[in-house]
Amino acid sequence: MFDRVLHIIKKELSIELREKYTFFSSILYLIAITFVVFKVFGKLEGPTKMALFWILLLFTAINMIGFSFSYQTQKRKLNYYQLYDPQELMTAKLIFNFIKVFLAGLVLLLLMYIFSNEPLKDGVLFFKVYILMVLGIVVVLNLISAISSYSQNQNTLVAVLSLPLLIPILLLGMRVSLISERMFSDSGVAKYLLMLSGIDLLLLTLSIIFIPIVWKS
Amino acid sequence: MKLNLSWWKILGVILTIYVLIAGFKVPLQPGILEYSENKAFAGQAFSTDLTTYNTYLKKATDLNVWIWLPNDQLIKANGTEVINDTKVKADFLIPTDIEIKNGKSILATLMIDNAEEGHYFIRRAVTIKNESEANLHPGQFFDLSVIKSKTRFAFPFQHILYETLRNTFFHVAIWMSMFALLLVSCYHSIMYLKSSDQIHDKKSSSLTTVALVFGIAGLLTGSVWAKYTWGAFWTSDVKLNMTAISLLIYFGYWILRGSLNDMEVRARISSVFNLFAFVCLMILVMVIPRLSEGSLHPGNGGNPAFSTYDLDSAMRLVFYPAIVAYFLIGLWISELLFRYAKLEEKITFDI
Amino acid sequence: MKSNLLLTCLLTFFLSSGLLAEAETQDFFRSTGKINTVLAVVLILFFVLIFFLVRLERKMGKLEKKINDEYKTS
Repeated sequence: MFDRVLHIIKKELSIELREKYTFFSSILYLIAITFVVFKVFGKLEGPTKMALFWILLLFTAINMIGFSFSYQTQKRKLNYYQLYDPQELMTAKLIFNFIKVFLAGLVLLLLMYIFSNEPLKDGVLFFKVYILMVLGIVVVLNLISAISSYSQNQNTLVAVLSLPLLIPILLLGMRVSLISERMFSDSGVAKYLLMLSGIDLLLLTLSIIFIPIVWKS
Repeated sequence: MKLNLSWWKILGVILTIYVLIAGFKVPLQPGILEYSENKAFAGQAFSTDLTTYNTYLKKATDLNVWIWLPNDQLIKANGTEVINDTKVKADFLIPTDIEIKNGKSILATLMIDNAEEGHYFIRRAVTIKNESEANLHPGQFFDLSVIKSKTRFAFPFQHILYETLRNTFFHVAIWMSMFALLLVSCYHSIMYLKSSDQIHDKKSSSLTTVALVFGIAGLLTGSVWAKYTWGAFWTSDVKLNMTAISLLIYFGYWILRGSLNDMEVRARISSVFNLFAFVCLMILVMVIPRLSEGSLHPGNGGNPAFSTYDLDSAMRLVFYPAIVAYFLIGLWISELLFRYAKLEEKITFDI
Repeated sequence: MKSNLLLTCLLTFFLSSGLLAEAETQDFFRSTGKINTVLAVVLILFFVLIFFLVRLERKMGKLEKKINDEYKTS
C-alpha cells in the first residue's frame, strides 16, 4: 500500500512539475495579496497579523487544493479510479497537498516577517499549531473538493461548503497562535493542542472512511 | 379525507399545548426589581425604597427587610413601611462593627422575608463603606437561620431576565430540538449509505429542511431575546455565532443538493456531506464554549443568568417536554415534506 | 393563492406594527417583567412555522396543478 501511495505522489509531483505555473501562480497570488494587505493596514502586528496570516493561508489553500479533484479531466478521473484504490489516492493527495500548503505557508510567513519586521515570539509552539492547522485545513478541503467535483459550479461551492466547516479549527488555531505571540496567557495550551490534534485525527478518519463512497461512480 | 394521525403526532400536539400553558401560567418566584439607594455608610442611617415583583406585601405578615453581609450575617431593618403590594420602604442603622475586608467597602445583598411568601433577595445591591474608625454603634447581627422560607411551584426570579426566563421553553428548546432533528437526519444518511434506498435520502433531506427552519426561528427569537436582556440584536456571544455558523453549514448543504442533478449522486454526496457537517458541528459545539471567556449565555463565565439556579426542578418539568414537543412537531412537518418529495418524484417519473 | 397573499400581508402588517410599537414606546417589550418579549418570541416562532407551511402549501398547489394538467392531456 505504501509503495502505491508513494507512486501516486510521484505521479502527482511529475504532473505538478510539468505544470509548474499552477503552484507558482498560487505563490504569486500570496505575494500580491500580502502586499495589498500590508499596504492597506500599514503595519502588521498582534492579532491582526495572526488573523490575516490564517485567512490568507486559508484562501491560498482553497485556491491550491480546493480543485485538486477537479482539474483532472473526466478521462483522467476514470483512469485514476481504475488504477488505484480511492483510499490510497486520498492518502497520497493528502500528503502531497499537505506539503504544498505547508510550503506556501512558509512563503507567507517569510512575507509576513519581511513586511512586519518582527520575528515569531514562540517559534516552536507556532510551528506545532501550524502543522496541525495545515493538516486540518488540507483534510477538510480535500474531502470538500472531492464532494464538489460532481457539481457544475465547483468554484463557489468549495468555499461555501468548507469555510463554515473550518471554523472550529480556525478558532482553535487562532487562539494558540495568539498565545504563541504572547497575546494570551499560556494556560491551557496543551489542552488546545490536544483538542486540535483530536479534531484533525477525527476529520482524517472520517475523510478516509467517506472517500470511497464519494469516489464511487 | 384520511388523516395520518399516529400517536406521536397527538403526543406532540398535547405536549406543545402543555408547554404553552405551563410555560405561561406558572408564576415566577417573588423577587426584588429595584431599590432606590445603593450606598450606605457604617454608623449612619440608610433607607431605601424596594420595588418587588409578584408579591402581595399588603397581605404579608411578619415582614422584615434585611441586609445580608458577605460573611452571612444579617442586619435587620429597624423600620419597614409597606407602601403598596410591590413597594416597601426600609430604614436601617448600619452598625460600625461590621467586618470590612480588603479595602474600604463591601457589597451586601438586600433581602425581604415574610411569613406568606418566604424570602427573596437581590445580590450585590448595597455598597457599605466604613469611614469612621470609632465603634459608635455596635450592631445586633442575626444569622441565616432566622430567615423564613417557603417552597412553591414557580420559576426562579432572575435579575434582568425576569419573565423572559420563560423563553427557555421556546428559544432554547427549539434549538435543542433542532439538534435532535439533525441527529435523526444523520441516522437516515447512514441508512442511505448502507442501503442506497432513495427513501432514506428523502427523509434525511426533509429532516434537515425542518431543522434549518427551526434554526432560523432559533436565531430570530434569540436575537429578540438578546435585544431586551443584553441590549443588542446581535452580540459577539459565541453561542449565537455558533447558531449562525451551523445555519451557514446547512445552507451549504442545500446549495450542494441544488447543484447536483443526478439523483443517485445527489443522494450519495449529500449524505456524506450531511454526516461530515454534523461531526463538524458537534466539534464546534464542544470546542467553542471552552475557548470563550465571558459568554452571555448561562453557565459560562461571569453571567448571573442561570448559574445560581441552573435549571431548577420547576423549569425542568416544562423544558424537557418542550424539547420533545418541538421535536415531534418537527418530525411531523418533515414527514409531510417527505411525502411531498415522494409524490413529486412519482409524478415526474410518470410524466 | 389569494389566502396566501392575505397571509403574507397580515404577516408583514404584524411585524411592521410590532416595529412601530417599539419605536414609539421603547418600554413595551420591557414592561411587566419583560413578558412581552416572551410574547414576541412565541409569535416569531409561530410565524416562522406558518411561513414555512405556506410555502409548502404553495408547492403542493403547483404539484396538484401538474397532476390536473396531466389528466387533461391524457
